[in-house]
Amino acid sequence: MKRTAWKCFTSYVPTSYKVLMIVGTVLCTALSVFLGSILGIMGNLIVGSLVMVMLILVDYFAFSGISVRYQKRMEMLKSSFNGNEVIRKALVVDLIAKAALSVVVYAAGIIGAGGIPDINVFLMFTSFYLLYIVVSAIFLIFTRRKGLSILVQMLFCYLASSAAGGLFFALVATQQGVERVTEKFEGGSIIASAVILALLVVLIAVGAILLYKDSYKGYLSGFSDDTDKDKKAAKAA
Amino acid sequence: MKISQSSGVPIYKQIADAFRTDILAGKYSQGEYLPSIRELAKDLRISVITTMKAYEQLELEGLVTASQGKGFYVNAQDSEMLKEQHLRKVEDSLLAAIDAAEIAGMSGGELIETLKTLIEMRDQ
Amino acid sequence: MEKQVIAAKNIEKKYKNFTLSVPEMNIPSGFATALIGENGAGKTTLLNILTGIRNDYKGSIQYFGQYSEKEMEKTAEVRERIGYTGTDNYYLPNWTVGQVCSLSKLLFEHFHEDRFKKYCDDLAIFGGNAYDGRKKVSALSDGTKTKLMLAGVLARDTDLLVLDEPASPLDPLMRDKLCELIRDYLNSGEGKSVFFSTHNISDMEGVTDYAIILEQGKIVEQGFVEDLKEKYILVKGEKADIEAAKKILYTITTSNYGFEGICLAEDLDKLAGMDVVTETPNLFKISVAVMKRNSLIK
Repeated sequence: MKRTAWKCFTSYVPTSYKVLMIVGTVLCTALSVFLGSILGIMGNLIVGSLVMVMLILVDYFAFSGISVRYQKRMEMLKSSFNGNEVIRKALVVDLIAKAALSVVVYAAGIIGAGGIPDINVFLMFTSFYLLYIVVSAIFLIFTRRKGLSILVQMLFCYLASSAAGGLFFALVATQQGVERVTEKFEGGSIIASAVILALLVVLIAVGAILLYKDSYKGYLSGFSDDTDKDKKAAKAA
Repeated sequence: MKISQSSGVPIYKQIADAFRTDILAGKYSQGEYLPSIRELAKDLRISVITTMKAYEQLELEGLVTASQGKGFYVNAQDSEMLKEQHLRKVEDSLLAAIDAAEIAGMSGGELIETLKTLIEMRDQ
Repeated sequence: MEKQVIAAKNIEKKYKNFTLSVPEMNIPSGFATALIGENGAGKTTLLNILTGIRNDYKGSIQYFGQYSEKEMEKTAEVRERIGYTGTDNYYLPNWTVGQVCSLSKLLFEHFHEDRFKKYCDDLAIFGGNAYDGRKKVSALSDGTKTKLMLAGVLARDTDLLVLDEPASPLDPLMRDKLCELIRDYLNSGEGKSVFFSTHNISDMEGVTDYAIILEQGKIVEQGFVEDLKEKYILVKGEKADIEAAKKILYTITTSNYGFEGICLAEDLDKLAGMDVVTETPNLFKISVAVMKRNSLIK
């Protein structure tokens, strides 16, 4: 049977993941529209936290297992030649699905708020949202590795928002700085914001790749006892 | 065929003995194949190594021949050899009777009388 | 048909407290081989090394008379032909039976869904009810999980089954069925082999052709069952001779009524003059004797 990324993904992730993703997406989107209509673009802040919580939950069910808790498991995958490929593809689709979810929810919020009010505000806000995701992704790498309990993971989620908030102010300062440089140009401030946004998108991509690599490495480490001595011995053989 | 796991006689020997008796008694015709070693192993719930060894034993004694890819078939039983085997059996049984008679305190004459009586009873 | 389905040399894996060290191990082709050993002797490690689940070891392995262990890592052929069942570490607990089925289709080229469902039925995995793809693996008992693993490998086209302690979680009726499944598998084609591990050979003695006895990471005995039954003799004797017998027998158990022990056939004449009876030992008694001889348990 053809090992398409989608098939690998749907076969590997448990039902609870699938249910939560679908229900969660619908709920968050609706909430986003609703809050957007009331609070305007600010509504996305609240929904953002909710989305993060949901993402941590689904990650816990499917993938935190890879790095630590179920490292020694999945022998059915390990004893087959194609096992590595299946896990890899499932990880990739998972990241794309989560990214798509975030975009959908965010866009729903914008629509709920009645469109983009001020391009500058929009760009800065999106930057904050993306920053929040980047910081969370980094935290996710750590929590997957250590296999922390789900409550601790939620805690990290809130830490991430505070960290993002702090960084946001640094971001604003940077933007002011860039603005002064690009002042001369027509719509200079918009360019500044757009540049920052673009940088953040790149950062997210990098963060996603790191997350993927780390999880896959976690899976591969299940093939051995994880001590450097053994690895050297195996190489020397 | 009744195989005893705890009788002390190796299982392969019990199997070989059982088949030897049947072959000498004429239950298998010349050229007829014995059950395959795997089938026999499955029926008796033992290792194929054991059934293989039993058949190899029979082959050593000249009772069967191995045919590549097909199994073991029964050899033409020389009527002289058959007779000889049966004669030996008679001698063994008689020797056993003599031993038992000795233990029971029977004399040689009494033993012969008993034998005659039994033969007469059989013929009737 | 190649003579050995697996030929391993110089396998070594160091742990904190002990080392698995196998200078040479040959598993004959076309037969059922039992890897007998106490818990912790290194059986699972050895099986994991052979099936590619563990890659931190030293040594070389040849599969089916032609593939090296490097080819086993880098190409699909070897693992495609091997059907492995393990222990608790096989599935993710929140997978469903349906997912196990679809994963198997993705992981292996020759997986037959109809055969899988038929085995699920034959082995009463759903307790006599119809196939339910939504049943979670975590909701199955240990015995049922083992049956599911067996169904998974038997639904594929393989040439070698490697089973890690398949009998342990099963009830006696199912153990009998397992022996039947192994026999049917061996008979299903040319050159099919089975390699299973067990810490209690009595359950599987009826289907064992070749035995490898592992103690503290080392092979202490191996051979075809008939050869082992000629190498070792079971000796039963009188109380009076216990002290003398202890010097000759490999292992011995004593009681008020006498002794029983395993002796090397070549040492039998040393027992001349003693009042003893000899018997062919079964594989269980042989393996206990060999393991006792080499064990830490006094």
